[in-house]
Amino acid sequence: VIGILSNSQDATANFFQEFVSRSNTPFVRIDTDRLGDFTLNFHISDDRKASASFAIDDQICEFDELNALYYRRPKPPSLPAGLSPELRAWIESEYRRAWGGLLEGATKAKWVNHPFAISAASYKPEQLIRAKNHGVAVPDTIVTTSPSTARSFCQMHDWDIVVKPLGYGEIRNDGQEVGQVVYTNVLDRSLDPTLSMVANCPTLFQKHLSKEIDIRATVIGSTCIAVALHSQENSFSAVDCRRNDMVGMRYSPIVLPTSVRDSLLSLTSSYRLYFAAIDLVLDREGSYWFLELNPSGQWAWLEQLVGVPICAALLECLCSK
Amino acid sequence: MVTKRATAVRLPFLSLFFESVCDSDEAPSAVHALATKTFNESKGQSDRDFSDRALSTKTFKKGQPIEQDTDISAPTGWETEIV
Repeated sequence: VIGILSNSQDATANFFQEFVSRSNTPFVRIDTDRLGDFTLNFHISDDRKASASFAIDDQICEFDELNALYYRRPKPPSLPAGLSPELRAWIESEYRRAWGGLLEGATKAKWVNHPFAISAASYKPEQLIRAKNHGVAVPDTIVTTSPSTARSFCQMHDWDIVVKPLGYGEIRNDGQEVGQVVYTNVLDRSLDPTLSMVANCPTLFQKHLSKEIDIRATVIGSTCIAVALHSQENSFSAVDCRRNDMVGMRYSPIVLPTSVRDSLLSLTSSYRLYFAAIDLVLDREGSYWFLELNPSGQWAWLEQLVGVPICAALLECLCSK
Repeated sequence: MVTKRATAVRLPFLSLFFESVCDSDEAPSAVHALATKTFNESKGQSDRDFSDRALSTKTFKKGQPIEQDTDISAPTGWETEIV
């Protein structure tokens, strides 16, 4: 049985679930925001083998039936209103330790991906170091809190520089709704006086690549599926292809050079990841550059728009040892 | 809100590029679209919808929009934060 571990709002998990269902592969959907609707039972003692099961809607699953887990985007369980923040956090912790402990300990499941591996792969400076070690070219990049270092870097590259977050680009308000966002942006000399603000927070500066195309390479096991995003055909998507909701973006499947593909596979494998969505750039001189690796990156829209067989590769990965 | 509160402290350099998802004249960003979709879905979906979906092989609705953000996810406990 394959477990699809996500949240009830995850359209990508739904998309994959439909594919798994059509393949007649047994699966179970575990939406962690709905864990309050599940019944959980675990029993162990000196004279009995451990048993663990969960049930929902009159369906029962033993944890040791789970051969593979597709770890998509779990979220904290929805809890009743009226709980204090402290009690809410404590109950969430109890849920996490119960379910996390049993998914980890009561199964021999193959995780795609294991949350520890996802976490380890989620630091951009480390990604750049590792990508380079695996033979992928990385753009000239600094992370600094020194305004003078930032200024020197910008001057060295004649202010042909982009700046982007090290982590996520959403700034959420107290209600946990997205209040502001920050994309990758190009700098210009007029911002020189503002570089003193670099002292306030580590900031990533990177040489602005002269893009031919953006590339999303989706690695699943030993498969690498690459799609070109023709981001330079629209001015708004030239620097950050996510802008304008990718409206009007043209896509095309591409085949990466063997050396680049092999580097991406070894990079992904080095994190003990089975899945990674990797952002690359092909510049106008024909060089491939690594930007970042997304251990839980989105992919379903590529299958929908371009027809690349990511669902099939993912299912095959989950079903293989 | 975030900017006002942060103004009292020392703003990060990247704050120069913060964009409001509410007041922007631009078309909705991928992130905004995702947030809006999630909000609308959560308003419109009943508990029955949720309970039907789990463990079911038949509840996926064809044509359901798929998120298009290109993001890194850094799980801390449950959640993979959208980047």
